[in-house]
Amino acid sequence: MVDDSHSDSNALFSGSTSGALRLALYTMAAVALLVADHHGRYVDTVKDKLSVLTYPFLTAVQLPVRAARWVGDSVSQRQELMSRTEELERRLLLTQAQVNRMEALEAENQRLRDLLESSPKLGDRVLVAELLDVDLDPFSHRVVLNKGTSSGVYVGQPVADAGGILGQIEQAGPLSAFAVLISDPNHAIPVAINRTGLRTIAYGTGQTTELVLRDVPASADVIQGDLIVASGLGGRFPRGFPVGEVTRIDNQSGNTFITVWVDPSAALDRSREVLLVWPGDHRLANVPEPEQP
Amino acid sequence: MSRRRVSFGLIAATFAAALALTVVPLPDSLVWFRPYWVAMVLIYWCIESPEQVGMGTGFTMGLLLDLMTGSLAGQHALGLVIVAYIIGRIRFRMRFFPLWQQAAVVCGVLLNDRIIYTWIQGLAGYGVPDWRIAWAPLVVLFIWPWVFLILDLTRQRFRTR
Repeated sequence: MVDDSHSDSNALFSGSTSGALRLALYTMAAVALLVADHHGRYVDTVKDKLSVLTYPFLTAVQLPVRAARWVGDSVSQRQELMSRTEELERRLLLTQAQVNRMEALEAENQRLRDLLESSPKLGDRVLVAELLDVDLDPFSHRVVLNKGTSSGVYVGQPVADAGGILGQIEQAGPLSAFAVLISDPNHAIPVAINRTGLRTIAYGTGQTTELVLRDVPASADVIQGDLIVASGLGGRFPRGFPVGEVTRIDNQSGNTFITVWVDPSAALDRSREVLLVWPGDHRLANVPEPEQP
Repeated sequence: MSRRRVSFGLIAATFAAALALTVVPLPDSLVWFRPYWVAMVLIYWCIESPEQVGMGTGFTMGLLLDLMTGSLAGQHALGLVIVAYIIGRIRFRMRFFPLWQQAAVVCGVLLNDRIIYTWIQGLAGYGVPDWRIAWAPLVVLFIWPWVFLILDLTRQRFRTR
């Protein structure tokens, strides 16, 4: 940290040349890093290693926040807790009923697949991870998870929440991982329109409330309210996970493609707990068996 | 300059506090008003102890920020190096400015920094700049005098020991 010892020490203007020189050097170094990080994978590996340094710091910072929230929870009214339990029980009942129906459907689906002699769909394994209670750069659509490579997390792994696909792992350190959200402007996810099966790609827009489909032909059958799911193409995101719902369609006559705006199903800016998903066909060696939720 | 050196521990502690304040969660409505703490601490030390803190420190702290907040490596570093350079050039004048005038200069430097930051964002494909980036430097306009005084008191306190 100690530097600049010789500049500006005796006169107003001396040292300004060496200052400008150093500015140029540091700027070049920063730009080189920026370019390397934007285009290459090398910087990511270094970042993964260095996350060992920053993760304890982030954890320490969020401890008081965690503690405050915990105190808030423990002094919350009995009435409130009871009504919350009731609400949760009601939702559990509903979900259970749906799961039971799903199981029947899945069995039926399996029988049909057997008839068609197509490959069986294996169940996805999941692991619950918590997001650290820290604010990152408001521009970078990224979150920090409290699980890392020691739990079997890998780069490119899909991350979901109760609503649907949230994003994917971008950097994985031993104990923590950065996930990039599907709303990041540089992120794209292969999707399909659930009703019609039309395959396309959902791009992030930089807003956590919107995704955009740019490659939909003008002749395609899309209506407001259509459910968008992951298509599973590319083999990264598990097929069938919800991605969002069509909110509006920009259809200017004369254009070959229409622009479709999608409201993400996952709570991109509000989730506290997320699911790390091991898609059914992804096999990993030496991975501790993740818990079943 | 015959001023005494400031202890390395004190400088490190103020930067650590600034880093912590940077990631402490705020309600969503306040996210855009979060002052650029690390830059403020950097500016203070660039004015008060330029022998110890300068562009190198700016670069290091910037890289740490990039690591912590998941931005592109070098993004914060580039901005902070430029901040340190500008302050290094005008610090003699700044030392004699009244606090409010200092605050205005700091606000201007940080606005400039935000513009560079958005420019990099644009090059990296993050689309149109968001005018809300101007809020944080404006907040700094009002809190700089206090930050300056607190840091100054801390420094003098540790010097007398």
